[in-house]
Amino acid sequence: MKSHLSLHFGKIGALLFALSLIGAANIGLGKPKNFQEVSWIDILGEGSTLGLMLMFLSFVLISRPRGRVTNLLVYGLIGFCAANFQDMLDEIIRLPTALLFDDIIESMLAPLAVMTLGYGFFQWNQEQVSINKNLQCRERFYREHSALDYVTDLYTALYMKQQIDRELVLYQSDLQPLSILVIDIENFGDFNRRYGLEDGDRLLAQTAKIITLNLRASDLACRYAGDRFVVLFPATHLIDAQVYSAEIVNALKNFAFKPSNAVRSEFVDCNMSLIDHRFGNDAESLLRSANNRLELEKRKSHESKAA
Amino acid sequence: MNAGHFLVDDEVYLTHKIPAVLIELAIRQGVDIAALLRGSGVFLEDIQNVEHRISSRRWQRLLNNAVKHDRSHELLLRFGRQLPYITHGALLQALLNASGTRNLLEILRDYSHLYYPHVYFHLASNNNFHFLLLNNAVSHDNSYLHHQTLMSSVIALFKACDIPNTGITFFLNMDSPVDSAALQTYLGCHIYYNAPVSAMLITDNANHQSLVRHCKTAKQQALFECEKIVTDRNLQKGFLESIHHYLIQRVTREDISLSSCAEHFQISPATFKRRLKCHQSSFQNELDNTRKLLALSMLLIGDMSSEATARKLRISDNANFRRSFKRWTGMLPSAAKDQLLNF
Repeated sequence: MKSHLSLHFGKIGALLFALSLIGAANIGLGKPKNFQEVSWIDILGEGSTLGLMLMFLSFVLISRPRGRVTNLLVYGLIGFCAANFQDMLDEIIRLPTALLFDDIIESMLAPLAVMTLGYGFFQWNQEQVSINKNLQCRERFYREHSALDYVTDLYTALYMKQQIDRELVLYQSDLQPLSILVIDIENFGDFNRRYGLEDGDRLLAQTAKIITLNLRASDLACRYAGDRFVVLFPATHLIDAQVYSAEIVNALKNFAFKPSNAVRSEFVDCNMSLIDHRFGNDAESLLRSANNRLELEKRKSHESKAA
Repeated sequence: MNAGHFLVDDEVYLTHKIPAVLIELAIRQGVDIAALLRGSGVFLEDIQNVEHRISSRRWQRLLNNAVKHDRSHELLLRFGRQLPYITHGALLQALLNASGTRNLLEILRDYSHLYYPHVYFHLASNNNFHFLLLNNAVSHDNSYLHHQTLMSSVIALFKACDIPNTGITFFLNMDSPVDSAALQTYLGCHIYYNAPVSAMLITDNANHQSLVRHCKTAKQQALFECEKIVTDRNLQKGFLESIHHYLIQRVTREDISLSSCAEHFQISPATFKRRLKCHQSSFQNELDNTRKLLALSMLLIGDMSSEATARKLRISDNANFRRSFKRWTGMLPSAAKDQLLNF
């Protein structure tokens, strides 16, 4: 993914301008202190704080698009950097006492910058709440971006195992049932060979979207591996899960996928298996049982087609 | 390249074939190209160059890099699925026109150096099972990576030939991974970890019936072309594979020593030892490996007793054989039969 740095040249310009202005003003209006008067420890402390602030600023500029929250965070950090820079220059340059320049920068700009930054964080929090709502059905109570699948933006099998283990604890303590659905796409290998890996990945991504569109807010879908997906139905009996699973399969069957170089759409067939908490004691055994049943279903389907 | 076999530093892999497919798949899975190619001696331009080759050692490095940076843990399995379709057309034609499961496996065994030079196969069959053991043709470095790739590839071949892949047990010579999702999805649920060998135990429910698409003429023609490719390009087996072939022909008939083996390869014993070390092996290791393969084949497929197997392998008494078998596999012969066949 490309960085957003190119969207913020204006802000980078503002930062450089602010720091240059402060530097020039100090050099122009003040006199350098004697070597013995300089406190190197203070310079180290303030310098490293400035370095960290610049680092945070660069992360914000690289990762965030334009917008109100970005502006608040960036200008707050610029103000804080400017105040910190003045504080650091104060250690090596003596400004005339009558000049209020350094007091304005250090003592007035800094609180303003922190207030702006604070408001920016508040807005960032609101933004995250909104993003969290969008991630429903893809995430439950725990975020780990390194566990995200690059093709479908769903979490991977490891994440699902953690969530299943969590639900099993609830089952053991409160007898809250859970059901697990495993789906895979039939003849996905043939599809890849006919239309290429790029269209294959696109099919997986869109299949993932259709699955998540057909889930309740409390459910969780993950990509298991290859063309296989796992859906967790927490606090759901098998009978209810059967209804939800049928709806997902039906949605997938009616999904007309358009490969890049094909004239007609392709319709997806899938195999599924559904189990509940009785099929194992832990996530590993539950998923193994579900996969076993899926293999059996596929074999039966293959045999009936051959017949 | 030495007469009769290639060494780990001999350049046998055409860069625009097997390595190119792995590189493309890895990039597609988000692996950083610089990290992928580091230390492999491959540049991106080399993929377009039909003359460029890399050695097994560099291929291994490429594979290690790909696996190290692959977050999905399924890159090699995906690569394995592609392998039948990037091999020589004649070989694929021969495989797709095989007369049955056993015939397909035999063709794969006989032309493994054409299919995937790093691995060769040992096949033992009876009326109900085929036991396909995967071995390292060149070096033992991270062999499980190659074995997983080949197993996925065999499944892809079975699918292409309409052979059901549900009665297969996979034996992997590696620890159970933290995330086994990819292995379960690509290979199936019957996976035995920490096995003494890497192998596939294939149930032949069709009782050796002909495959639907079998065409004898097409297969024979394709095999003839494969032979021609091997001869014209002077394609050879790996060093360890050559040693294994030498040992397997003699281990049941005579006592073999390092000197006699070195003499067969027309090098001095010291050179032979050094060369084996360079390939991460030793003479005793290869001898044990050969005996282990034969013992497992005899016990599991030949349904021979422990005593008969010991006699066949020229081991003086059953107690010695049991001790040796435990050293090779970590289990006793009776336990191996019970656990591996009934898994």
